[in-house]
Amino acid sequence: MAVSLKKGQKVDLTKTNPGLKKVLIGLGWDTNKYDGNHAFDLDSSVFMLRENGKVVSDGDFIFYNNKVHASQSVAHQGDNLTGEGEGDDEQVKVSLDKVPPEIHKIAFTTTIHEASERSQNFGQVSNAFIRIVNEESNEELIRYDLSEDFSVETAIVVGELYRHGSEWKFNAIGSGFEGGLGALCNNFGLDTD
Amino acid sequence: MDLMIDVGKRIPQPRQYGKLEVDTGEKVIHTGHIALGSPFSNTQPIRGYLIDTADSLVMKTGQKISLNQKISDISKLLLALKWDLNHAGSQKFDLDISLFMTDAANKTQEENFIFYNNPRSRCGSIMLKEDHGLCVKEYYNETVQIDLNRAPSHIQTLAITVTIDEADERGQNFGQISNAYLSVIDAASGKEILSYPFAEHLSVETAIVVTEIYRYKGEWRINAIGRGFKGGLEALCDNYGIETK
Repeated sequence: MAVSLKKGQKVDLTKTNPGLKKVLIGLGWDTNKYDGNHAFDLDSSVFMLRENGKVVSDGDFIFYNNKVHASQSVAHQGDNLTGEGEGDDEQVKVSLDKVPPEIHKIAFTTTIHEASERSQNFGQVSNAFIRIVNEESNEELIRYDLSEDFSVETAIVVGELYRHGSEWKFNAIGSGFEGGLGALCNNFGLDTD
Repeated sequence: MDLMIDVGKRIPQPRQYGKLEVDTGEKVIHTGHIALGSPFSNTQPIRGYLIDTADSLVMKTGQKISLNQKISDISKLLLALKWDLNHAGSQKFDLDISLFMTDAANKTQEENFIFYNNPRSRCGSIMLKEDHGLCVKEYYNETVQIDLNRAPSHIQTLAITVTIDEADERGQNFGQISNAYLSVIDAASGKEILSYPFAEHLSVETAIVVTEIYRYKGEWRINAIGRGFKGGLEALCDNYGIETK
C-alpha cells in the first residue's frame, strides 16, 4: 500500500524499504479536454543538486535532450507529447546506489511547454501526480497527488529525493513558479539564455 | 429583430446612488445596432457603483480560490455575467446560461441540469435570472442566484456555462464577444469578492465553461476556467455526463 503524501510532507524511503536500490519515478496528468485551445505539452525534468540546492553544470539537468546523467544514476525515459491515457505520462529511473556522493538532492519538476505563448497554466491540468515505484518489485511506495495545490503556475517542483545520513528520503515539495522552465533553472542555479 | 438607435453622448451630470453621489462623466453609450434581446451596453454603471468592488480580486484563467477563505461562512452567492458583442450584424446573437450540478463521478442527473426550461433546482440552491433581491439583475446579461448551503451533499461541482444558440446555423462563436466578465458577489454583504474576465482566450468555441464552483475538503472553491467546446451544448452535456435526446 503506497503512502499518500500531502504538500510539504517528508517520508523515509530506504529506511522503510531496506535494500531499495532502483526506483522508478512516474509523473502523470490529464490536460486539454477543451477545444479552441493549443495542445498541452508537459515536460518533466530532473535537477541533480549539491548540498547548497544548486546544480554545478548543465549535465546535472536531466531532460528530454539530456536523458541520462553521466553517472548513469538517473535516466529520463522520454517525452510524452500529449498526456493522453491512464497511468504515468513520463518516467524517470533512478539507481540510488549509483548517485554520486556529492549529489544531495534530486528534484523532479514538471513544466508546461510554451505556457505563456499558449496561455496555459496548471489550473488547466487535472489529476497530476508523482509516484515512486520499487523498480524491482513493481510496488508503488509513495504517491503525491498535487492537482489542488496549483493553479496559475507554469512550472512546479513536484518532489525531491534527498540524502539523510546514509538513507534516502522523499519530500513532497509542491512549490511552483509562474516563469516556466526558465524560472526553475534560475532557482537551481542554471543560467538560461 | 434589431432596432437602429443613435443615443449619442450622455451629458455629464452627477448621479445619485443611495447616499453616494457619483459623477459618471461623459460617456458614449452606444451607437448602431442594439439587439433587443440584450439591451444593456457595457457602460451601465454597475461595478464600483451599485456593487462595491473595493475588496474584489481579479481572477486569472486557471486560478483556483477558496471561497471560504474569502468569506468563512459563505453561502448566498450571486454570479453576474456581462459581455459585449463585437458585431451583432443582422442576425440575432443569443447567449444562454446554464448550470450543471455534477456528482463526484462527474455525472449530471437530468433534473440537475439548470437551464432556461428548468431555471430552478429542486433543492432551491440555484435560480437563474434571480439576484437574492439585490435588484441588480437588470444591469447584467445573466445572473444566477446560488445558495451553497442548500446544495445536496452529493453534488460536487456547480459548473456555470454559456452557449450560443444556433451558433453553427448563424456562423457565430465566442471570438465575437468581448469585455466579458463574471462578477462573484457575496449576497449577504452585497460586495463583489471576485471578478473574472472569462473570454480572453476564446475564439472558435460555441459553448464555454465560465467557472466551476466545487467542494474540496469541507470548503467551496472556485476555478476560473474560461474554456470551451466547438460542439455547442451537446459537447457540454458530454463533458458533464448528461444524455441529450
